[in-house]
Amino acid sequence: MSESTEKKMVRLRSSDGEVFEVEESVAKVAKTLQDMLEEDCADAVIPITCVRAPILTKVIDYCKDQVMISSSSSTTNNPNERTEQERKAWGQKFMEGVDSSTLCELLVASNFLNIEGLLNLGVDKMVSMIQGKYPQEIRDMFNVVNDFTPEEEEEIRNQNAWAFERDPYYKKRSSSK
Amino acid sequence: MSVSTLKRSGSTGKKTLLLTNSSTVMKVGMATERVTGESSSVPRDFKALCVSKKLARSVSQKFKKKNKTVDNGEEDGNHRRLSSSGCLCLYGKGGGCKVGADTTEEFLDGNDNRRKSSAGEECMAYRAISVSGIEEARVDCFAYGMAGRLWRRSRKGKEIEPAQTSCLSPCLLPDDVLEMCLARLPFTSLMNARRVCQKWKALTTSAHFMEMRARGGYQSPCLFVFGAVKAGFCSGQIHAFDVSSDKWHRIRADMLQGRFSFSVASVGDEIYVVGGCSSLRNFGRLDKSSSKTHKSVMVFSPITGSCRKVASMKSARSLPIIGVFEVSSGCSISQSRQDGQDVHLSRSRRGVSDVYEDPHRFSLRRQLREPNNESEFPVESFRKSFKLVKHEVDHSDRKNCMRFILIAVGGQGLWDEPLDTGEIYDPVSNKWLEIARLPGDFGVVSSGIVCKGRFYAYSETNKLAAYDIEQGQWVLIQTSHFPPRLHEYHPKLVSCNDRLLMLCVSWCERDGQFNRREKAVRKLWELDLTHRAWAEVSRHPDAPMDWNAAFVADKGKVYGMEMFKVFGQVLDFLTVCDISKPSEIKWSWISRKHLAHELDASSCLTKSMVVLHL
Repeated sequence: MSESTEKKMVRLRSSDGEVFEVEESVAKVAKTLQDMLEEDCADAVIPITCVRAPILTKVIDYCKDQVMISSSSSTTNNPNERTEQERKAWGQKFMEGVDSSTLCELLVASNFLNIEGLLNLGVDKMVSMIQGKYPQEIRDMFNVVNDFTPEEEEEIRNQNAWAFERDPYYKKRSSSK
Repeated sequence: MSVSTLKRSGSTGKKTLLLTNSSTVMKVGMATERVTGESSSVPRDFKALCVSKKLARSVSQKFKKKNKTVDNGEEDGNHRRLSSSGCLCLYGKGGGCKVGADTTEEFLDGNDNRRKSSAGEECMAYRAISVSGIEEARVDCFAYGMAGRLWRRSRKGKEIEPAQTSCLSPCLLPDDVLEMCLARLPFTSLMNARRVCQKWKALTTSAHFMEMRARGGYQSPCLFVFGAVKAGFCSGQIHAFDVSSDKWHRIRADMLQGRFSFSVASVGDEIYVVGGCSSLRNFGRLDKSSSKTHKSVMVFSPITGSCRKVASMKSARSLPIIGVFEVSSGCSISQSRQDGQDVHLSRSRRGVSDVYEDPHRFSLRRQLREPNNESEFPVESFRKSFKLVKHEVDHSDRKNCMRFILIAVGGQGLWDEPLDTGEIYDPVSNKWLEIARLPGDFGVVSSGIVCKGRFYAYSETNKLAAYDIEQGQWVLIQTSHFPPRLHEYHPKLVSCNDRLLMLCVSWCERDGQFNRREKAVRKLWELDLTHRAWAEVSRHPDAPMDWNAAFVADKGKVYGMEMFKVFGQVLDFLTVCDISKPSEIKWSWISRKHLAHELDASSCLTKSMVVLHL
């Protein structure tokens, strides 16, 4: 393997077989990969079996950005450094247009690769998606099957009646019964 | 290396398999695939190997070092056999959850297969791995090991619930990630999420989850407004305002129907509704002429939406002034009081007047003697029992070390006479005990709050007294001067971050040429508890329209609600002031949404408010 002057590259393979070549520093943003690389037990190609190519692309994008931030803030003080606000805006933009299934996959990937920042971004996005939604809307969004019996559902509903007032979906369900 | 090896002995075959270099890997992979159908023990063993981080690492290290030495010594084989047994039990402990959640689509799509036996799931997972090729499976081992490690790290000190490990995550997420998402939801959204499915409900109702919410600071304040009157009827409806979602919710609380002039206080995540009146002649109406004053106390829990009754007070009170003490759970009322009374007794011997001494001292002592096995030296035995209780507490859960004692003072009695008595309530023993009367010349209590372990009461005649729960006595507090205030407006004591604050309305000082007209202004004052001097903290920007405005403080913030009728319309305004940062103490509106437009003007008189973090 050619080392010294050139940056060390790491190859990652997604579950659907696509191979990505990234700099080692980028891969190391993922703690799981970092541990692997440091313990020197990574092969020429690291298969990441639970992450599909489009998701991995997104993850790598994130990692690249993290590397860019950290390098710019360490070498030159301040000019390129982001404020908290900018970081937030960037995170929002990064997560923009991510649908629920992609989001789930991203969360799984960032949890698996142990990328805390991305995980937090994903969780925040998830929260904003669930927030203010009725149970049926949440179920539709994430393809969750309602496994409550009508009695059980009625019981929880009664317990917290105030939080679910005016739930159009609930009325629909009970009237169709 | 041949298929027959695999067939013969599952475990050793697997180990050799893992050591094979990549050129032989595909062949073996195919072999395993064929074997899968035939032998069920092979996948299980393989699975166990996958989970073991230790094994995977040792394998990969070996792999690097010895590269192509497939046939290495017996010693290594033994070593690995040991670690493989270790990993089996690790898997048994719950690493399986990760495996279930992380594998390929074939497995994940099986939403409806959730109730399949775990054995079936294992097989499926295995097939998915073996199909994707052995080389991947090898790194998979490693990765799962890592995941297992992370999993364990994130749940440090917690036991992994075995029930959940075999369950498939509904939206394909590992439990801990899903938990993270749900924990950050505001309370009302969380209630909706709880209704999505069994799994979400189980996750969000665990004690661990609620604790995580509290610790992570994901709770948000909810304001509860009581005493709404609609069309002349005290409906008992509670209005809850979720600050994070900027929404009013209505809660039905039939037990409060018809009741008015009660007082409310938040205790933990519950709300105590103390005393009050209800009309005798026309039930439910706000009719003071023929009303009955109650002794009863009710507890409303917003989390369960339920109301329950607890022990009634000794005397009936409407609009009692209530406060909540936080004491360590080591002392029940009587015990801590007993301890304090010794001090008190010795003091009174030194010539302090006995005027405010607790008249029930002796009866209390008699009560106490019984459970403590009659002794010649009661004081000693009480001390001992006190210590004993504390000791036990140290061993038990530290989180629950604090508990609450409710105090109710003053208010109006059965015949609307102002009371100067008080009582305290211990939720553990579910008993009210009378305490010393207020100092004789104190006047009518108009507001009170617990601050730094003492209950401060402010009277209409501008006197301040403090009740010390350990000493069991009232102390009049002399302050340099009292904040100027208009008598018509009730002063309100609030306390947060161990600071004693008071809101009262006074005439605005004329500041030169601009404000020629006199106008009233509401100000927030703070009492310096060491120097006993009041100082102005901030000025409320709104004109004080409501003489009965409600103010509560919580976690460094003071919340205020003014409700009044103007131009034939009842309006309410919620304001908040963050007093934790001394530099920028400013009042701001919480919301532009109003609740009062549907209420009667009399709600302005009967309303009361508490704040809870949910």
